[in-house]
Amino acid sequence: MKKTNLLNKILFPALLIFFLASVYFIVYIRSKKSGDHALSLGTISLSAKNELLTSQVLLQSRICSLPLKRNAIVEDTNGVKYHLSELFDTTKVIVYRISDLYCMECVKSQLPYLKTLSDRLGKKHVMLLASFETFKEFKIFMQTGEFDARAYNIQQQDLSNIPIEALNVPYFFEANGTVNADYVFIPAKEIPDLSKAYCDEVIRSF
Amino acid sequence: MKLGKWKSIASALFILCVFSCTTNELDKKAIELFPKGESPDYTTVLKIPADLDTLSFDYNQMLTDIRYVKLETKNNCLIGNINKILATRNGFVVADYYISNSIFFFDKTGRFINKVALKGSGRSIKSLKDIAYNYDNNTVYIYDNIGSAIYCYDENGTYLNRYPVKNIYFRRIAYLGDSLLLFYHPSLKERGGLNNYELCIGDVSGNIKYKAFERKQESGDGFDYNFSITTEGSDVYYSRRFSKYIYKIAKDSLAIFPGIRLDFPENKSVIDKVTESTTLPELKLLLSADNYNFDGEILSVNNVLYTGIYKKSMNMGVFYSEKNGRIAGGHLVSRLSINDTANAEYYSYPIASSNNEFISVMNPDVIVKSEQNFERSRKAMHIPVPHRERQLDAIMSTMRVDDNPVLVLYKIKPF
Repeated sequence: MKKTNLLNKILFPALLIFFLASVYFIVYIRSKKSGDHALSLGTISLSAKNELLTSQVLLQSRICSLPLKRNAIVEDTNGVKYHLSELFDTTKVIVYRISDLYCMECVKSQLPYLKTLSDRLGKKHVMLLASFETFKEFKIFMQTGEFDARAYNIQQQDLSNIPIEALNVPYFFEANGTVNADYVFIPAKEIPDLSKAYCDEVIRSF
Repeated sequence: MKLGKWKSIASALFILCVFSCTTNELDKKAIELFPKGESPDYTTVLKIPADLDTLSFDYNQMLTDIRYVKLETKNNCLIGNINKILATRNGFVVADYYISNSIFFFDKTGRFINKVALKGSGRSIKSLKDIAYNYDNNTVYIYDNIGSAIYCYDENGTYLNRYPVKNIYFRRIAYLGDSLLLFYHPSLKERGGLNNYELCIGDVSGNIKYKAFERKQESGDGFDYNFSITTEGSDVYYSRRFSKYIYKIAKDSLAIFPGIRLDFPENKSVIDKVTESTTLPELKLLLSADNYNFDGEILSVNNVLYTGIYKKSMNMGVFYSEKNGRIAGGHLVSRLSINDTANAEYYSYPIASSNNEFISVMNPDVIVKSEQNFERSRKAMHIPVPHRERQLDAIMSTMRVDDNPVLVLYKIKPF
């Protein structure tokens, strides 16, 4: 009888406390582990973004007044051909440069910003300069795409003299009455805030 | 009585404690893999010849049972660029994710049936990330990663269902069978867990049951974007970036094992030079140097395997006979004399396969211009008109520059 009382009053409550403590301990260890992991991954992600941002700023600070090939032939969506110099004669234009060789998700990620610029600055001040392998691809891209402003197709090799082309990434530049690429901006789809800041700055200073 | 009560509570707690530690692991267990570096006896070894650069593939000699399917051209079904082709029971599904933003459905003869487009589809599809074919019930899955859903269509492009996939994103999907999908590169909003794996397996709603391949550090520069999940009938292959193993995912036992190993000429492949500590700039240097690379694409038809091998900007295909281990491939050529009849022209290596045929694509926008140039030279140099097989002649003589691509379906002769 005494033995049963002892079991009832001491051993089983102790066992219960032990189990509860074990459960708490396991839960604590697990949450700590995933928390540490989340922190380390978060740090890696942040440092990668910082690295990307730094490289972008360093790269872009070196890019100014890149001369474009004046007599390069471009084609609009109706197949009408122009010299590149005709597009940039007097008007200040923000150009979004894309190619079918670039990451198309990166290309598409910037189209909403291009639309914002077009809406705010007017269609004649915004332009898409594309390089599609065939005119058919260019036409279909423009027909079904989300961008309805001026667009021209140019042969990839006609811009190969610009060092930035070797990076194979989409970029923005400003052409201010000269056939030069100025104020080059290389967006990154991972950092939409950067593109938004660029848009705001372009609209503010236009 | 009191003792019995305590015993019950203690037992219940014990069981609860044990299950709380194991249930989660059972649900999302990692699939058993062969130990790293081991090459089991049944791994097929595909030996890339040292003289691949000098080899040539005479497609008029090697292709057989060729048939052409001209995809119908209408204003509402213009294909910009083919990213993926699925051969379904009664036709073809063609994905153009980036130029026309559409998935096109054609019947066996190439007649346009329907399309799912970002613009004007009547549904709230926000992106076309990938497609997969469920051969068990002849339905097509379209994965919308921005809208976080998998849309289900029948093989005629008729909408059937939408499955929300909450809080988890993938880069590619493939159908494994038994209502299971293979997802490449899962990403969850919260860190850890499935984020650390390259593959996971689950149902169409994204309920994950298995995971595999611990993910290496993100390269973050498009280098980890993987195109190497290929579905071949009921087989699904997967190859990790810069790996010489092509893994086959067996749906029956849900095991992943290296089905094929590529052996490159000594010291001539990117893969053999890549280590765990290779940095991204080093990778870029390796890729731009004179090294062979392999992106993991694999097709299989009637015991003939096809894979693409890359070197700088040069793309070459390799066919491998599983019967005798022979290789055919290299630069594409056609060695026909004036009196011979061409069965194929403007051939390019396959990008898809059906159950018993390889599928290549002919692009009219390129071909028509080449034909015009060739015609001018032919007339100037008084070269006779080439003989073409009847169906090829019909295709070529009616081809216009704005036409949709032509699918070429064929087998490879024994070699």
